[in-house]
Amino acid sequence: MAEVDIENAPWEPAAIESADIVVGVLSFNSAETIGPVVAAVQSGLSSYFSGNRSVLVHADGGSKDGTQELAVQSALDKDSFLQVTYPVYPVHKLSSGYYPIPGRGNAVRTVFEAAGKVHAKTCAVLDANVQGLKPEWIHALVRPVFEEGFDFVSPYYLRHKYEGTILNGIVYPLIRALYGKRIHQPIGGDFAFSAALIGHYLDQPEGDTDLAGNGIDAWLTTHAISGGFRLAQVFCESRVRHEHEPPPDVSTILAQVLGPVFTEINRTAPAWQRIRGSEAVPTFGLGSFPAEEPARVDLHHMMESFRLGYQSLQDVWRLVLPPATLLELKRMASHPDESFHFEDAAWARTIYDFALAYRLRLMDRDHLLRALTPLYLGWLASYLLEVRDSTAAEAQARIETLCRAYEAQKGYLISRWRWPDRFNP
Amino acid sequence: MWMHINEVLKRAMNRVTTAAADFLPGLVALLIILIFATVVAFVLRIAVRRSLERANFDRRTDQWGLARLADWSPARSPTLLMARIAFWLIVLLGLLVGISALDARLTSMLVIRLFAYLPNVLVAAFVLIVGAVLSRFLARSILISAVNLQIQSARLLSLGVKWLVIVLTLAMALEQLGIGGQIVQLSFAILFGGIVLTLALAVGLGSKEMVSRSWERQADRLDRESEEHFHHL
Repeated sequence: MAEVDIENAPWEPAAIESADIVVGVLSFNSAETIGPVVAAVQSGLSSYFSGNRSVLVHADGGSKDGTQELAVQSALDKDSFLQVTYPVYPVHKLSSGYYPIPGRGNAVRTVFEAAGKVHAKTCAVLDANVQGLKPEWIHALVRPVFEEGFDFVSPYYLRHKYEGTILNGIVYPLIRALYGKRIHQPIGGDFAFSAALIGHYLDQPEGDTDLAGNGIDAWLTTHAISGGFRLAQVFCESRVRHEHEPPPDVSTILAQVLGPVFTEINRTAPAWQRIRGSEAVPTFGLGSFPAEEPARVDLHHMMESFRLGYQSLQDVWRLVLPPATLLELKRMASHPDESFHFEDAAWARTIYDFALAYRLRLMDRDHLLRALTPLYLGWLASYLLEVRDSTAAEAQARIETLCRAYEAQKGYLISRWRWPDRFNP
Repeated sequence: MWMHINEVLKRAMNRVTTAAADFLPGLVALLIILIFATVVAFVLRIAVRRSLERANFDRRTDQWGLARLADWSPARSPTLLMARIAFWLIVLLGLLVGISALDARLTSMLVIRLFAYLPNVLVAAFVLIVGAVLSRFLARSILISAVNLQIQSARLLSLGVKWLVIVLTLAMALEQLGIGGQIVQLSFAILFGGIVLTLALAVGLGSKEMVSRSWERQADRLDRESEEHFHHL
């Protein structure tokens, strides 16, 4: 096994000169899950790609809980195991919040550099903090790139209807409407890349602090889409993430997730303004929704959060939202719980207005994203109220309807983006 | 005797004429300098207004938390305010230069005292601007965080923090300008201490049930989220 610290010294792959497949496992204080993940990855590579040279690159951010030692012990094939460290700066640790891998951007870049050094044709990137990773997942993720010639593969998790609500309500419809590709998991998943796409990534200038930190996924996805690369997704079971600490509050999650997405939207504005509609992305594998389990959610609490937000954040929302939307919110706030409803078009316009406000820096960006929280909880309550008696498949169909609303309102975003002062309905 | 009176009158007229002859050139110089300064001030006002309009200064002051500046500005436009300030500064400078043409000693004393005081004015202005921006930033931060924590009195908390920072800033600015002296310091101490004591009593006594209900709701939220079967991402 070759142990290299990429941060402090140039890397010379004395032991590994070339490889067909590189699978990067990112970790930071992941002692409880690193062993099974490393074993599952190597088992998957040896089972399904036995005729090819493959390497597992374990990129660790300086764990203090024995993660690195456990990873080495768990490696089934030490000759195909590489361990490297990536830099984690204090700002990454302070802002990690929802993300279990602080400095994720640096970790991904480290894996890409390793893949480039060994001239790998395919590179996959996984987080080490997942439970229940199966070897078949490695095959499913890598095969479309390695054998079918795709450049970018993302997972398509078929989840409980109450899971992934920020993704389903904001990120997926937004990326779909703006970039024209129906990628269900544009962020927060495990991805696979081709050598050409990795070369494209490494050719880009070093990202800013946000993207080098935890917002790398949005950057990877939008670059793959706007670069004209071949995209695919693969069905897989929902991941179970191992939590080190209690999850942060929803406003922190919103701020950390949407910040990089809005940054990318701002950066790629000339590209997405020319795109109309959306098209499906080739999807591999067979997927089925998980068995429905009864779930308890407090909708009244969410609606009250929305009403308190409407009552107290008027001065803030007035800077972001036009009068027509504020009127719609006023109407919603006065409705009783049973008839509480957030129109799809109004929700789409709200997100677009916040994206525009992010670009124009109408206020501190962290304040802006956190001020979205009551609105998100209002939409969430409305959505959960609609789908509480639905199956997961029906809930997914409801999300597709929401996506079409985002696409229909794209003209509104373009008008406001180009003429923020003149077009203010 | 009439000849003597005539003589005295002639001498008095001579003195007045001489004094006027000594004074008039200075006066004419003052008027010319004032007219020139006014012309320059007009030109500068137009230049300042156009460049600030091009830079969207009115919108930017709002973004920087200086919305109050619009309330004090003519036609609610900070751009016009800056242009007028520039205009009157040039006119004032012209006046000082013009007065020196009349009596150099008087103006030199005036100018020295003015310029000695100017740094205090600039520092006080800087403190006020920073304080205004900081108060707005902190107030908004507290407001949004409190709303997201389901605290019903979010606006009150936000207002309290804002005024604490403003009072502190005003006291610092007045001290910098040397206005009020100990009276300002004592007033500030009383006011600031009063605000803090009021907030402490409100939280400790008057609002304890409300705060405890907020904390209970917060604890319930954590319990609820651990039981609720959904993940946001």
